[in-house]
Amino acid sequence: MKVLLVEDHKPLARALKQGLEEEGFAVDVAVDGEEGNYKATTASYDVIILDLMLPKIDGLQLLQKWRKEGLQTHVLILTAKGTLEDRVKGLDLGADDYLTKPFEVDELLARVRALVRRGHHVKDPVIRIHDLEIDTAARTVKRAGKWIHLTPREYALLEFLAFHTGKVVTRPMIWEHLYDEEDENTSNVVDVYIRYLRNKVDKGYDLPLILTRWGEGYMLRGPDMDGGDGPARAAREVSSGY
Amino acid sequence: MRSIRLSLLVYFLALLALALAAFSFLIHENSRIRLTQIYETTRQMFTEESQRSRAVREDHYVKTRDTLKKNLDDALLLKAQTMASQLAESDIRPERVFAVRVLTPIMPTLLAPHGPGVPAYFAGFFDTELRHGWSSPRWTGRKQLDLAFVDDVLYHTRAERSPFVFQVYNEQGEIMARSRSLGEENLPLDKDSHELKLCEADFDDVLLPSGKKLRRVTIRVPITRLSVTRLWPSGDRRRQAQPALPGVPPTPAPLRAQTSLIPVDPEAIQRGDVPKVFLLYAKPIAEVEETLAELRAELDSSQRILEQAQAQTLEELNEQSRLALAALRTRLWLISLGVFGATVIGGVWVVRWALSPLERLTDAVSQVSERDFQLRIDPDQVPEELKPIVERLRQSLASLEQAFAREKQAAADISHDLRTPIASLLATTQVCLRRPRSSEEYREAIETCREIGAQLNTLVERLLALARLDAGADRLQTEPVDVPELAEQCVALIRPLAAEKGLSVHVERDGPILIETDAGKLREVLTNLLDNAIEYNRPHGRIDVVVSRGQGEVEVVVRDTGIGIAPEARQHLFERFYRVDPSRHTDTPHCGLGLAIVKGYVELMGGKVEVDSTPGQGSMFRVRLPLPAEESQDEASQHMATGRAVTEVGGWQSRP
Repeated sequence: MKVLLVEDHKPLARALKQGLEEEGFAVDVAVDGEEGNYKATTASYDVIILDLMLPKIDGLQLLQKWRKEGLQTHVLILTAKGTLEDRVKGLDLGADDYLTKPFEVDELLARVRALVRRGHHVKDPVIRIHDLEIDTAARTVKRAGKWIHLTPREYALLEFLAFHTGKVVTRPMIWEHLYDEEDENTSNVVDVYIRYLRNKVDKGYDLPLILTRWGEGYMLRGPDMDGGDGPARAAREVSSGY
Repeated sequence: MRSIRLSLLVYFLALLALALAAFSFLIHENSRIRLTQIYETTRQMFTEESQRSRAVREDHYVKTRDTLKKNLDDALLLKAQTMASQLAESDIRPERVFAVRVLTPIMPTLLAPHGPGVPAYFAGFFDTELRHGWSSPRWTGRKQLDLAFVDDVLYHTRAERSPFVFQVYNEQGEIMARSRSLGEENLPLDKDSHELKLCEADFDDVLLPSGKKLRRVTIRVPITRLSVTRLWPSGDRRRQAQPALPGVPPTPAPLRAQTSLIPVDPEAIQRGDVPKVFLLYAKPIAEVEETLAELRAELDSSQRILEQAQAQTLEELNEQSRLALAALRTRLWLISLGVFGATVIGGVWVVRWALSPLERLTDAVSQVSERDFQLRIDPDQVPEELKPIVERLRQSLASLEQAFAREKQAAADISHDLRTPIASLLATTQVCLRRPRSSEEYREAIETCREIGAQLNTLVERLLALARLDAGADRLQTEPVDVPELAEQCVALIRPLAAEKGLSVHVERDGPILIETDAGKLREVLTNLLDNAIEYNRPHGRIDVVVSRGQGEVEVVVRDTGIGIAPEARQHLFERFYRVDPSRHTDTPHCGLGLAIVKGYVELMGGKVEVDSTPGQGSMFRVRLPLPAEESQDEASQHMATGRAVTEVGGWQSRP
């Protein structure tokens, strides 16, 4: 999941970027209104964390402009302006959430996760696919009752696939949503992480859940795709062949 | 001060009551006086009229009485004169003539025994000499004065029923004749009647013993005619029977009786040598007196009626005046009460109406709150008297609103500038503590926290500095300071920062300029100005610092080539919490306090700070500090002697 953090106070931006990345988010940082606007309109993010008192362009103006232009990304306002008026105004201008400084990092992360779920129209924090359980709140994964330990990157990849269960996600999509601007774009990094994930999730189980579509990308097996399905089998064959 | 409304009303009503009372009193008194005057005038008029009427009546009475009396007197006199004219003396012949004499009935006393109407013949000798008067020596018989009356004239006077009575006296007081109407009464002759002149009439009233009151006239009349009876011997001597003149011897005549009236010799009358009689004529005056009494009664009664009518009219007038006054009093009371009542109601209304703008103003003022500084009152509805107040109020509210807005903005700024570092601090520590870290990572986190702490410290220091300035608690810790040197030090401090931004800093300075001031505060001032010069400069711009002597002062100019300051912003520039750009520029914790502190410190040090700017080209801040007195004297010579050293601090211009 990819987050844009528009925050002019550099130590805070640094700390938040670190915190979010350790939770598996890809984080882009903008230090003023202009930069924030540029990044929000040129890249695709799951959530934008927006400070209000920004140099050059005020946060509320940015929000207003984005909503006017039809930007659908969820926006969480993170600001020192904590009065009722400010909050109401922020929410009325199109923000999805509002958090005042100082804040608890855990709360911020939870709110960001909630926004991500909302972005994929998921209400239940636990996503179940066949015998796989992904707890998006606790960021834990079980298969057939057994805990699977994943690194943040692996988890983020699995969660991204899970949000798109039954649908093919392309490599650029994965790249866009899981890697920030500072990551080096090497073409096979996605494939490497898919292999790691398969080793942890599918290895030792009869039904492979991570499927490969040649020339397109990857997908997580949907609930209606049984083991006997043609495409599923083909995918499996392909994957096992790989 | 009590309620204006109440005071106005009470004073107004008191004045009104006073005016009404005075007015009513005047009207009442005026009317009373007028009515009294009318009454008095009427009464006087009535009195006069009554007197006049009385006089007229009296006059009428007197005239009537006099007329009546005069008429009576005239009638009496007429009667008496008529009678007198009928009087004549009967003559008795003195000659002795034999004659048969027939006695006329007018001599009743002589012939009484023979009865009236029977001619009596007397034959004898009669004296033939005709003499006047009755003292004829030749007459042997007794002299007798008889009076003869013409019967016709006297007839009615002799009637018994005639109201007139008469009585004739001779000079001896013997009664010679009297009217039959006198009856048994006697008309007395007054003694003083003898004093009367001939033919003089004397009128008086007389009371008869019978109680009859009479009006009486007394005339002393001479007998002017003689009644002569002659005895004529024969008829042919008729010629001789002419009336004999006195003194002429009568011719002997036949004895035939002939009576004639012969006038008495006028000379004799003149001499008074004729017999005289008192002729008294009278008439009862009861009738006249009765008439007069009636008249008197009538007059008195009419006078009484008149006076009664007047008295009644006066009484009515008096009563009417009293009633009119009472009615007037009642009306005045009613009118006064009505006016007073109407004024109470109207006054309340008027006062309320007059004070309503105040109420509106009060309402408008009470609607003002820290959220809404608008004075919601229609200027057209404000009366002239309140306009200055409203205008002042508006101005005060407007400036209050501005100050409030600025304070609000400042509070938001401060809270932002305080919360943001604190949030950073917390976030950094929380993120750091989420999992075990390497010592390198911890060191980084602690380093970040130190930075944030330093920022917070700066901010808090500035806030405290301002608070101290406000409280007047800041004291200058003066020491000799070389201003150019201090400027150099400050420039040295900010030099790395300037270099980081690619700015070149140039210092232009004189030789040492020593002043007694607080070095720490001056450093703070210059650092602030330099920080601004860096912060708001354009990339690769230039900063000039010029320290020079001026007229009795030392001048430090900090000039940049930045974005400049708009003229409208310049006047607010040194105000606390004022920021040209309300959004934040960088993470420097200025919070709009830097220039406020600069101004506060410079003024504390006895100097001035000014700003000049061309938007888009740069700004120039000039700080002037006073030189000590002895310094400023030889300032000019030093200025000339000291060479100007220009130190260029190399800007970091590595970029092309």
